[in-house]
Formats: sequence, structure tokens, C-alpha cells
Amino acid sequence: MKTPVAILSCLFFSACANADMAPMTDEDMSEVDGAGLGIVLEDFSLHAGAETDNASLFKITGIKTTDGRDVNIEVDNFFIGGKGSANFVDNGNGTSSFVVDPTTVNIGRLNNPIAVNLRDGDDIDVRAPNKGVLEIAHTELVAIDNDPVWIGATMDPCLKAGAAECSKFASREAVDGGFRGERIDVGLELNAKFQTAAGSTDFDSDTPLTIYMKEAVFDGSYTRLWGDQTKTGSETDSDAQRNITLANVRLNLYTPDIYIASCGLDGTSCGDAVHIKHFALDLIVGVGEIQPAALSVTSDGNFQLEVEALPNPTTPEGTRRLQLIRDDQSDGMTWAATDKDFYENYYNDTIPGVKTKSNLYIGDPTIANPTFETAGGLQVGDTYLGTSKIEGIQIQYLKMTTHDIGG
Amino acid sequence: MKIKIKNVLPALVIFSALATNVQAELAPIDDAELSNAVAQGGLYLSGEFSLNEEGGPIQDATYGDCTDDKRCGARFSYKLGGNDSNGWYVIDDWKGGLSFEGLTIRTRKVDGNQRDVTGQLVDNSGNPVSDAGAIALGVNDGFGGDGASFNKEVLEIGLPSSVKFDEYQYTLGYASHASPTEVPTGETFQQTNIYGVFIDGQVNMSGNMLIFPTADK
Repeated sequence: MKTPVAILSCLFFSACANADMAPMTDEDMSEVDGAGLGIVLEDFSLHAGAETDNASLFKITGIKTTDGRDVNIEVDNFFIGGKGSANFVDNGNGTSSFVVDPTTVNIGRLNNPIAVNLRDGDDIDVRAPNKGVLEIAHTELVAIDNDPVWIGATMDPCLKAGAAECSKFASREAVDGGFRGERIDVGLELNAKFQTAAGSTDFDSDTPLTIYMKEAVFDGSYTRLWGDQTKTGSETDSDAQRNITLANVRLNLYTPDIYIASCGLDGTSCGDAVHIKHFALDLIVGVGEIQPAALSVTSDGNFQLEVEALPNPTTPEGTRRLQLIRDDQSDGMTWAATDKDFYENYYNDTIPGVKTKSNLYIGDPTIANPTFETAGGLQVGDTYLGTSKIEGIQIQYLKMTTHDIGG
Repeated sequence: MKIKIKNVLPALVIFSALATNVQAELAPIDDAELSNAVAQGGLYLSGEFSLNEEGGPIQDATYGDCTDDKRCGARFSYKLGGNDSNGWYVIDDWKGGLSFEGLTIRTRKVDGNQRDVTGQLVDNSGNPVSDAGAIALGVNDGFGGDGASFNKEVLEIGLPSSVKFDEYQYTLGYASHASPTEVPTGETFQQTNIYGVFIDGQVNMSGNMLIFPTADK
């Protein structure tokens, strides 16, 4: 084990090496298309802030009410585990208890791991020409019955009735008494505490909210990051170009059950829960270099997130970006034959390699005692809220800027 | 990218299994040699880390020793490029301690067989067996049957069973300048804090993180 120690000591004591470093250009970087790192978490579980021993505390601070009182959001009983990591147990009096005891799970598969890659921006599914792109990706989405779409026709029966299609993701279900699977149970208890008066050390009584998501699948989710000296879409020709972090994000989430319940602080007296069966989200933020999400900090110290609008052909900035698309064609990356076709492809979600539309499916939300189902009984007296489906959302333009409101 | 670290005073860092500064000459190992290497043992680490517990090294109008209203945590700020129209990402008031016990690092062969920590093939009772007698685990290999076709060495990081945090905290924000003490005359310092995080207590974990190279994409 001499070599790793030597490498570590080089990290800590940099005198070992003496080399002249030269910066790489974007073009150089985009040619690098090396092997990436695969990561698999094996037999994994995590449990933090168990309220029962009252010793663990994870809280988010910095929020204030209008009259200057602090609001702390405490996170208790945060866990990540495998199937059956938590359970609502019937107390027999109309309430239930939320009991957390994480089982273990694998996250990522050996042949389809969580991957950290330096991608070539010229790749048709990346679409950031002449850039090196850092990609952090979850298990890749495997086409289900030749249907590569996350919530396509094939997934429809799964979302409606929990049919066999639901079991066809690359991340597999746990087998009772056997393989622990790659689907993740995750949950936490959020507890907003309000300071009784500004400057006081007392916080008022607890208002906890328990959220529990079963056997979640994140296949096909990724974050891609690269940098560019540019300006965001809302800035005009007179604005200087800045160094901006550009991102494309895709979040895929499928879970057969989400419970949102209000429980006592010790988790023993949960009332009725909102139970959502078959929740699926396919969220796209940013499309290649044409509509990236731009992350930057302005010179007055405010964070800005902007998803650029599509290029407007009547403005100089829009013309410049449309020219980028034409330049890409000469790099062999087809966006569309003409500018008009580009817009048509964008709105029809037919640009090769990338998706431009997001989808959300919420199946069968009910409000009921969360133990009724696990006890195998009928859901008597519950409230059925119906199915919602939001398809084909396209982010046309998004800009968020933080502002310091003092206090 | 510009990075600025200010007011840091790490009180104690112990990596019990790390030897003192080892001087060794590094020579590349080619793939053929690597494939012959069989891991023996590995590293077992426990550690404790504490940052600015009683304030940082700087004592001035802005930074103090945690007994007054001044900032006493460390400050880490960075910005992209040297362009003046960019602001700084900031991790501010960063202090507290954390300790862990039982982080392990070793290499391990993952295939359809069962091995002990030294890489020796074993049967279900843990007794050494020859290659011919190896127990092929099939779907019971811990990876749902992916192991046999994977058949590679991986770097295994055994996660510590618990990590203890001692009033570990930081605030995430964005600022106009690297530090409030480094503002040129005529300019004003502005910082927007988004949220703070405070952790005190124990996080329980189990499992291994396996790291391996993947094929070109």
C-alpha cells in the first residue's frame, strides 16, 4: 500500500511534484472524452436525526418572519434505505405511529452505475458544441418495451393500475427475503419552529410534517455543467460578457407511494395522511447550449438563475444565438434544416438526442389513515381526489434573482 | 476561478492510519501489472476534525472569537473568472467539529464468487477454497446477479457506521466582494445569505461505496 500513501502525501505536501501547468482551451477540453467514474453504493442505509433519542439535530436556519422572529426548519428522522425502511403502524384508535428502521439498498448497478463523466459537448445528446461537459448521471434509463420515453405509452398502464410495466426500470425492485434491489425508500420529518419573540431563545410548539416516499426510481436523471464566457438571454448587447456556469438538468422520479402525514413529535400519533399512488415526474431544465440554465452571481452579491428564452430572431442577441445553431450544423450536429424548422422541432419535442418537454403524473391521491392499506383492509371513508396529468410543459423563460431584504 | 479562504483555524486533524510524510518515487503501473495485483488488507481510518471552535486566527473589527457578535467561523469564497461583473459564491461562518470511526479503504474483486476481505475465495462457512471450488452466488451475489458479468476490481470505501457532528454549521450566501474587510474605497460590501445549516448529533450509516472506471461514453 505504498503507492496510495505516496499519492496522499503528495496531495497534502505538494512539494513532491514540480511541473509547469498550462490552461486548456475549451476546444482542447471538448476533445477529451475519457472513461468516467462509476459509483455503486452497496448495502447502503443512512439515518440521521432520530427524534426518539432527542440527541440528533439537523436544522436549516436563516429564515425570518416579517416581524424579525427566527424560523428554524428542523429535519428529524431523515433516512435513505431499501424497501420497508419505515412503516405506519395502526394504534387501533384512529391514529397510527410512524416507525423508522432503515433496511439496506443498492444505489446504481454494476453495469449501469451512477456515473461521473467528462462528456464531449459535440455529442448529439449533450449539444454544447466545442465544450467539455461535466456530467453526473444516475443509472441510465433503459427503454421499456422499446419505448425510450419516461412516461410514454408504455408507462401509462403502470401509472394507472400499477401493472407489470412498473417493474421494468433498470433499477430493480426488492425481492422479499432475497435481493435488496436498487429502489430507494426516503423520508424525513420537517418541523418548522417559530421563535416566540425576536431575540428570545424560546421557540413555540412543534408543527411536524412527515414525508415518506417508497421504492423511488431516479433512472435517467442527470446534471450537466459547463462554463462559458457569455451573457444570459435577458442581457442586452451593451452588457459585458461574464463567466457563467451553464447547466442542463433532468430529474426523473417514479414512486408507487408517497405519504404526507402530520404526526406528533415522537411520531406516535399520526392522523390521516395524503397518500399519492403512482407519482411520476420527468423534469427538463435547460436544452443544450441553446436554452441552458445559467447560474451566476451578480456584482452586487445576488444569485441569479436564468433559463434563457428561445432566441428571438428580431433582436441582435437572438440572431447571434441562431447563428450558433447554424454553426453547429457545420460541426455535424443537426438541430434543424432551417431556423423555422428549429422552432418547429423545439415545440414538437423532435430535436434529435434531447428532450424539451417535461411531464408530471399524479395518480390516485387519497386522504386516509395510512395503515388501512398495509393492514389489507378496504379504504373506507377515504377521500379520492382523482388523477392529474400535466404533459408537455416547456420552460419558455425563467429568471430568479435573490434580493437581500435586510433584517 | 478565484478562490479565497479566510480566517481558518483547524484545531485538530487525526488520521490514525496515515503514516507520516512518506517520500517515495512514483512510477506508472501498466494495465498488465495492475491486473496481477491482489489486494492485501487496506486502510482503516478514524478521524476527528474541528474548525474554528473558538474563533479563527483573525481578530479585527469584523472577525472575532465567538464571544461577541463578530463573525468567528471560517469563510470560503470563490468566483468564476476575473471579470468584475461577477460576484462571489460564499460559505460563511463555517465552524464546528465532526468525527468518524471505521472508514475503510481497500480494493476488492467483484465477480459471481464469494471472497473474504483478503480476496481469498471462500465457501459459505468462510473457509478458503480453490478456484474450482468457489461458490458461484448467482442472484445472491449482492448485486442481483450482475457480479459474474462485471468481473472487475473495484475500490471499496466502507462507510463509517456513524459520523458525529458537534455543532457543525455553515451559511450559504452570495457576496459582492471576497470578504467584508477587502472592499476598495468607494464600493460597498453586500452579501445575501440564503440559508444556514446546523448539525449536532449522530448520523448512522451502513454500506460500501464502490468506485470503478466506466467505459467511454
